[in-house]
Amino acid sequence: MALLSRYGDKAKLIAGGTDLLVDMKNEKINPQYLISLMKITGLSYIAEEGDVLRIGATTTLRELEESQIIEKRYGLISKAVKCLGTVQIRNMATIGGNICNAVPSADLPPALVALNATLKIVGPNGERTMPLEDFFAGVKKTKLSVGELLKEIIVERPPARSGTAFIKLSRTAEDLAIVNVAVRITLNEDDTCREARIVIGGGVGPTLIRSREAEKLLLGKKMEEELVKRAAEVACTGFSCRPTSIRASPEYKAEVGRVLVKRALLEALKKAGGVVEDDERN
Amino acid sequence: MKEIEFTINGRKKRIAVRPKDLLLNVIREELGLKGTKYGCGTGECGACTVLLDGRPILSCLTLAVAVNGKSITTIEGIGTDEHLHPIQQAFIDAGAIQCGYCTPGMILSAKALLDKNPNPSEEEIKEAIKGNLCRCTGYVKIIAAIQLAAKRMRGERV
Ligand SMILES: Cc1cc2nc3c(=O)[nH]c(=O)nc-3n(C[C@H](O)[C@H](O)[C@H](O)COP(=O)(O)OP(=O)(O)OC[C@H]3O[C@@H](n4cnc5c(N)ncnc54)[C@H](O)[C@@H]3O)c2cc1C
Ligand code: FES
Ligand code: FES
Repeated sequence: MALLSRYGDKAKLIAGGTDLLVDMKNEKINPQYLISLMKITGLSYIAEEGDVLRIGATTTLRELEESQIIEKRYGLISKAVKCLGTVQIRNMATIGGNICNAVPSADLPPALVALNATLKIVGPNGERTMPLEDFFAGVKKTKLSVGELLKEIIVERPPARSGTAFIKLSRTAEDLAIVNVAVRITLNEDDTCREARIVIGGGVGPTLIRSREAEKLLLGKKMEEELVKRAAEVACTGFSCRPTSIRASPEYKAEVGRVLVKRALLEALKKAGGVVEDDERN
Repeated sequence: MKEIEFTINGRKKRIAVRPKDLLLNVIREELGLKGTKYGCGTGECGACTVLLDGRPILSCLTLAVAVNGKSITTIEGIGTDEHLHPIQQAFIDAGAIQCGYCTPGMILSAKALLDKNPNPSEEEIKEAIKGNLCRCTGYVKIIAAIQLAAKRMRGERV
């Protein structure tokens, strides 16, 4: 912490280095000092406390993948992690890096926003928390101030009668997403929709998009196919891809987005609809 | 320069490195172990794969200072010229090597898999080597080689 304040913006934090070192090699950035987070003990952990899961920022993606707790009760995270990179990348890359790098095509942020994740941030003025949803300020920009770092990600366990889904479309499985979609829905006793969270990433704008309008459409209603289709259409209007977006055009993204959102919602619905065993709430 | 100490192929080493030195360059140039290859330098090809405390990582995206106190295994560390590692032998027997550029990384990824999972499915093998590109073989023989090695390592006579 002291180092980070001393060197200010001359220094860059490094965790797994899988984004940072690629950027340095491409000469996009050239920090004078690198401060390694991996040296800090006690920043890598997966701890379940009641209905929340606390994940330390330097926990590697491979550790998330291997966690039984996550596999059983936070399956949306497992799904997203398994779609990300290769074994080597997952052994190196950290959850904190995937979030703080703030590229709109990252795979974990949509899944974590769908799970209503909160961030614990520490800095010279102490600790603060912020919903992950509010954390991104633009492409490669976050709301971290100079001297601050991400310490912990807190994830809410999906309530009873919830279902989730994550779908990623990319050129090859280890590639960055063209579009990725994460949803979580929760049903009432009578099978109407109690809550829906629909998050779309993959560079459909400068940051991921949570479609509150589409969510509202579902609220209190039976999630029949026609309605789900309409929600998917609403969720995928007005994408503002970067003009430089190399992976696909906005029109293409909206087109496949609609298909993926619909498919994700129906998959989540199916999971929420079955008999909900305690361990299958994912 | 910064002194670091780490274990490489079972032997302790203490060397001085610059803060921005990559592990790949230290292994190849300082330690003279040329089995670890440089392909893309950006994490895409897996030619530079080494094991860090038993897990496959990419030495082209790892700073040398980051392995201080840790244990690295390169392809030179898993067999000898007289006694090849069973995976190495299986790659030869199954005809899984053409130009050989991908082979060291491929074998280390396979070793990390088999050390944890002695009886992997074809899907699990594919997932384990997804990060290792091979431009020559088309992967079929590589997968067969890993299956053959797995059988031999489980004690089956094949
Ligand atoms: C070949 C390859 C394939 C990839 N495939 C995918 C993919 O399919 N999906 C995907 O989403 N990503 C992918 N990535 C991107 C990358 O692996 C991830 O974004 C990774 O999670 C970044 O984590 P890291 O620990 O390596 O971050 P680093 O590179 O160490 O850091 C990234 C940035 O975040 C900052 N940072 C890191 N930790 C913190 C912290 N705790 N607090 C504050 N700032 C912090 C750093 O200063 C830096 O700016 C791929 C990368 C490569 C090289
Ligand atoms: S050289 Fe490291 S992945 Fe290609
Ligand atoms: S044998 Fe030539 S790249 Fe694999």
